[in-house]
Amino acid sequence: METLILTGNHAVAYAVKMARARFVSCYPITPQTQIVEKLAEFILSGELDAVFVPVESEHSAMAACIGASLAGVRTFTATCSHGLAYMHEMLHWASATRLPIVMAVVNRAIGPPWNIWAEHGDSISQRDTGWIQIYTSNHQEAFDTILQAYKIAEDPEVLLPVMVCLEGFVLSHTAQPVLLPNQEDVDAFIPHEPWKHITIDIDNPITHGNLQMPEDWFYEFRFLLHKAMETAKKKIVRCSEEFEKIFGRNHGHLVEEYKCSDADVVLLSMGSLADQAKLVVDVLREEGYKAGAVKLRSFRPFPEEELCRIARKTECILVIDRNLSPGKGGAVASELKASLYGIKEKPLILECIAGLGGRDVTLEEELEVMKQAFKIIEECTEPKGIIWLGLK
Amino acid sequence: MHEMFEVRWHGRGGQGVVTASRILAIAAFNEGFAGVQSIPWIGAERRGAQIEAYNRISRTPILLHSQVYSPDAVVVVDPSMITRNNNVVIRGLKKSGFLIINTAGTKVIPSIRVPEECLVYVVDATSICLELGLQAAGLYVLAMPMLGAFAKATGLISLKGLRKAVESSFESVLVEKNMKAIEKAYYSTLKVHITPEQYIPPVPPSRPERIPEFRHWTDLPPVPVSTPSKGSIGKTGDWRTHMPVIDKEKCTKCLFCWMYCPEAAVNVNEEGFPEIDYDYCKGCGVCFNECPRKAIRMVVDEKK
Ligand code: SF4
Ligand code: SF4
Repeated sequence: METLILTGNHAVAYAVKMARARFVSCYPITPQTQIVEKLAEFILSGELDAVFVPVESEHSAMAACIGASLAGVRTFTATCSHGLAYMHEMLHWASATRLPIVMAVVNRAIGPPWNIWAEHGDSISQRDTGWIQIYTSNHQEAFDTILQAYKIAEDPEVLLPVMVCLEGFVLSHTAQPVLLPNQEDVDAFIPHEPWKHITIDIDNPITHGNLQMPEDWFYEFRFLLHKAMETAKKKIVRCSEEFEKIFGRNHGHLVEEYKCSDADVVLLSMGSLADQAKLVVDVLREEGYKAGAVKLRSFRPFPEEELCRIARKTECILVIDRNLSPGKGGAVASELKASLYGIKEKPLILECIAGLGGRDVTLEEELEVMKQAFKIIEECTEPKGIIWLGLK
Repeated sequence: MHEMFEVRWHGRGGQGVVTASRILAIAAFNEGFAGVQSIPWIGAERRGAQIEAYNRISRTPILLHSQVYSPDAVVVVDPSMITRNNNVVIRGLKKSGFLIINTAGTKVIPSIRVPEECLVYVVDATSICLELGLQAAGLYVLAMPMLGAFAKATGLISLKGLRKAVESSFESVLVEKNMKAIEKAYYSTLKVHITPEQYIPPVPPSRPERIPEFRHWTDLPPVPVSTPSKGSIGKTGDWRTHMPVIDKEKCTKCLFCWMYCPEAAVNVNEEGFPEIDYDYCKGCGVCFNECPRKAIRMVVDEKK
């Protein structure tokens, strides 16, 4: 075990190396490029025994990963923003062929206007592609989640690709201490077993993706994909428990609660803002406010039951979304509201958009908006639509 | 008539079934039916593959968008459909419904099995097309004359209504040729007498063919895979009405036919000449169209 001061990007690269990925394909895009540059170095120096395939586009990067994964090897790629959008078609291919591909998405806004900074809009746009999406809040979590992602993806009852999301620059280019585990422990945690649902045998060739007529089985295969997502909920929890047993830490399972048990207002967010939210809660608690925070780790599958459980014991949930669905609002807020429909005593949901295009989100801004929430529940006033944090 | 009249067409890709179904809808609309639908059922999208199309005709606008399961009339453009699987063609056909068949001059009538009270009409649409040279991209447009037979048998639409529809659908040079085929068919359509031995109990409505490997989603593997095999969808040679014949005198062994054949039904022999595998040649005429030396002819397949 050793601790290195690593950028978020390098933390991901180290994790991929320790997971012993055998195939990496990629097209460079800021702010992700450092990940694959580092992996290329590892491969060149012989520290990682893998094939590196440079390609001419992200669409091809994912296509190459699909090919390699079909051959039964652990694969990796990384992208973001326009690159991820360009990959869109192949994302469906990967999930519907049930391939355990792991990809880092270094979240970046999609232009125009041109912008290379943090926003979750790129991966949120891929919500319905059948990929598991886990959002990480810090460098260590990014590292650990890559290892977990392989375990979840390759579980025979799941067999779904996983996106591990970390915000561009906020995490990707900043450096923090990252504890690297022993290789033997990693090997024991994610032993590589060939996937049994697909085999490559040149004497018995098979084809994927052949025609399914409306009266055949297309619909049923989609149903199975949904069921695998449901199963993934349990598996994500189990995986993070197992991880804790071996490595002594966890980052929450599907969600992570912070001082929620008696909280009147809970701040719900994803990514680095979820780390910052703990600080917001601490400051508010010192001032006498009963505040709590929830980090949403898994956006797909969406942890409905867990969020309902939290919702039952609080008066208000303030959601900060670092993404925007124009014409509706933030994705987390709308999915949360839909999830709570079935419970009787619903808390007040306040929607807040923040940090689009990498706009900095400060502690002071978050404190102020949380205090607004306390005021609203105290005075029982009607919330007035979306709160736009830091809008000029 | 019924509140809503439903029609099911049976034919093969390239025989003009979809076009005929659309013209029928236009014609019916011209006759004052406010609700008309033309519904192509697009399957494998291959020339020669079995296809179905549907029509609904009603005095009032139609809200139903599903396929047709209990047709009032079935139009069989390709008689091999009946000889291959009579029950597919008559499935769901209503009591005293119409069965309108292109007999193509063959002895298809004795092999027909229908529910009692069915009204069976026949016409030799193939000979009409042959005589008039009514072809498109190498194939005879057998569905066009069937419109005339439909008009005659059901009385729902008139030749005048059809003419207006054809005029609005084709360039003027093609209108007369198509109308001639429709008119010829109209005047030569005959009601045939069905003997009691030919009666069978009604065949219940069902969806078009289903692959029976699995019954339920629990039987499925996580991913669909298929194993490539020769003729995986059966002998496509059965689809053929016309067959390509290669004239070795004219052939220069350029192998365009080998390259373009969508069914990989052209082999190359030891001398380098193309040879057609008639088990799988579906008679689409693509090779005929592509051959730069005009060394391929399409002739009526007498065995069909
Ligand atoms: S395309 Fe015509 S000339 Fe060329 S090989 Fe085929 S039959 Fe012969
Ligand atoms: S041999 Fe010619 S007619 Fe037969 S399937 Fe091939 S292209 Fe079509």
